Amino acid sequence: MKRKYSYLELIGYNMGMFKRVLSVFLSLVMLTGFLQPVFAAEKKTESVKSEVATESAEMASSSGALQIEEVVKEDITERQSPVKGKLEGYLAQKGLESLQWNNFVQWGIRQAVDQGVSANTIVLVLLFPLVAAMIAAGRHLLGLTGFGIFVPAMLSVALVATGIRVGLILFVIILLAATLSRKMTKQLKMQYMPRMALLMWFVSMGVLAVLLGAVHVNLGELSAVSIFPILILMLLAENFIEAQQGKSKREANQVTVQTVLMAVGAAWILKLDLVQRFVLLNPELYLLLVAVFDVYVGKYVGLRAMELIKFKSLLKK
Amino acid sequence: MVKRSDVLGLNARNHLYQSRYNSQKGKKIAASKILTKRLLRQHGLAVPKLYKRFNDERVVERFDFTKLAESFVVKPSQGLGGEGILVVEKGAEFAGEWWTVDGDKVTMADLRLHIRDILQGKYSMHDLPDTAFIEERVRVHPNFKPISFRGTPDVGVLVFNKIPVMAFLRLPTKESHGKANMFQGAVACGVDVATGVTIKGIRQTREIKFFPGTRRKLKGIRIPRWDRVLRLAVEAAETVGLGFCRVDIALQPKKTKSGKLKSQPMVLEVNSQPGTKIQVANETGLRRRLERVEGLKVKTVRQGVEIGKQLFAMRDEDESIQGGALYAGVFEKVEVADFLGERHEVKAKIDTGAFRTSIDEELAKKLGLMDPENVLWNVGYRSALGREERKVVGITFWLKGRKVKTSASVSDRSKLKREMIIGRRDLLGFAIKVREAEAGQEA
Repeated sequence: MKRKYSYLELIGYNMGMFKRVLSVFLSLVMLTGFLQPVFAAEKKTESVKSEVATESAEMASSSGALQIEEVVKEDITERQSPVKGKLEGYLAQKGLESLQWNNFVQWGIRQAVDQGVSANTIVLVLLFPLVAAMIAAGRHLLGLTGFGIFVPAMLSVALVATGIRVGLILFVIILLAATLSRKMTKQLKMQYMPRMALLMWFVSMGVLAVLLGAVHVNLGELSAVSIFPILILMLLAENFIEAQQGKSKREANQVTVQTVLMAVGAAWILKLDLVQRFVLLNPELYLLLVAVFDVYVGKYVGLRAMELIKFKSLLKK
Repeated sequence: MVKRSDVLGLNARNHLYQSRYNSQKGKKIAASKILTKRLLRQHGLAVPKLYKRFNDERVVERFDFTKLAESFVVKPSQGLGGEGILVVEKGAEFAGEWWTVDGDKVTMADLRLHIRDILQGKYSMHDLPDTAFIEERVRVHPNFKPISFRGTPDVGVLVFNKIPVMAFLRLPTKESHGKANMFQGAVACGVDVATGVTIKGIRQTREIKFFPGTRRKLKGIRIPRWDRVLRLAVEAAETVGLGFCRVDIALQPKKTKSGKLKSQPMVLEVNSQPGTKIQVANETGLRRRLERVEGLKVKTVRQGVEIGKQLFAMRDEDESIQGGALYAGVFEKVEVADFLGERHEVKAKIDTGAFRTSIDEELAKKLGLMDPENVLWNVGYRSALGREERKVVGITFWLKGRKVKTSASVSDRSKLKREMIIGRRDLLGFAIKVREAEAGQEA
């Protein structure tokens, strides 16, 4: 009996780990493969008017989802050059002294960029520790309760990939689909796993409907979103559904809102030009600062900002 | 006024206390209600009786629920925050159907589904497969009946370094669906560690005077068998191996053979990560208290309980200040209320050998206690002089400032020095301390 239980436990544990590893893997794929084009698309949509985009999107929608990606990719490679130039322009602006103990990362970056590695990718990889540190600080200094560190971090990267507005729309739709189907499947009294499977069915259908419908309502950006951010959003949706099922409604809503807030905040900072520039030009200083900040947060034993509200009546009297 | 540095936040709780004083092994045991229950039972500490434990879905299908006691509780072993607990109050009109404490009717299929959900980890952390169990239901103690809604109230005692540091009483409300969980809207009352009397009530973080929907005050409720509760909490913490934890205890009302009510404190759960809201209920910072007892060498459970009672008394009365007991000598002056409610000083003797308090006939007449409406009944006494009828009258007196409302038998004590004898029936909560002068005094 005992052995069996621990075996089951092991599977459960592995499932949890598997999910985490999968999400990290997905985000890495996104970082290296997709972020760069999408980034470019984001920045460019304003200058290059939507004629081309809608045209290509319509064209693509008539010939299937796979082609959308191809078409978009083609588009993006064309448009990429000015953005690519921006970050690399920063690099070019700042001259570099000879290799020293305090600029070895900069050296490495320049070499890699010269070899053709995208500066966007490097910046995002560099910024990831900042996102993680911010989420940790959100928990320990502010007292926001998110879903651990992985979920908000993944969500923020997904939001950067899709664009914050589009990402939020998608996320809300996924959440709505999940909540709605949860209400509907409640009557069926099904077992846990199949019930979750049915939930995922609803969520997938919801996303599909959005993808197919977006073309008609002239939301070109939405249908141009690649599959990986969507997958991440769906993975996260599972987390939120679990929270809804496991915890009280109030708590689940609270956690969800706070996670989204943290992710949006982090995504916003990820996209800030100033931050990107600073990180790219002073990676050593930046990395050191983030590490020191992490240690500070880890050693902080005072009250969290939210706890000041919680204990307001206690502290006031 | 509580200083900010006196308040224990989650960071300090995790970093300074939980991770330092709680062993991995202890945390593992506390995380599983089944393991905790088994361990405590092995060490002779009271826990609700375990009826059935489920590891395997096949067993769930075969198990005959109709053989269980009339009321029982289904719980996940590693549930969080009181989720997944199903309290069955009594059987419905057909076999295989029950009423839950929420007022829903559940069938055997519902119970099975619920248990399967638990086994598949719906209520556990990280969705890990869990164990489900069915245990004895702790009923609502009569003291708490007017101030709870359906579910069973429980007492949480925060134990640090073998010392009870802070305590609260959680009362289920309509809003919390009969669950004693603060997140879900249960009321929490801060409790004076010295006496086990509540100080005030809060819901969420706001203070409330009365139990929701009633005019019952939340201040001044006395938790029965407080000493036993504290001792059980410290013993449970020690047994599980946690230096810093909260022990949740419920009082199971039980009838003794003679038909008297005697409640049995039982450990429901040991929590290695106690919440911090207990501070709001007690209007006191926990961090300061923890710092005060950190590193004290506590040898025995008894000693730990006494230290906690002495250090963390909160009410201004003598009882609280003296660590839960009110000291009385052998010869005391008491104040007796006459029929108008005015107090008169009367010389009295404390006599633990006597059962009932007794009062001189003359005095009783003077105070107007012999009024036919105040005479409760007649008692037959057998004494050296043969059978004797005595009247028993209602009486209210104050001993050491504590009001005692009771009954007294009336007898002729005119030839004796003291007009009253206080019997043991009215001495609950007092400790007799014989003074030097009294020891040598004959009467």
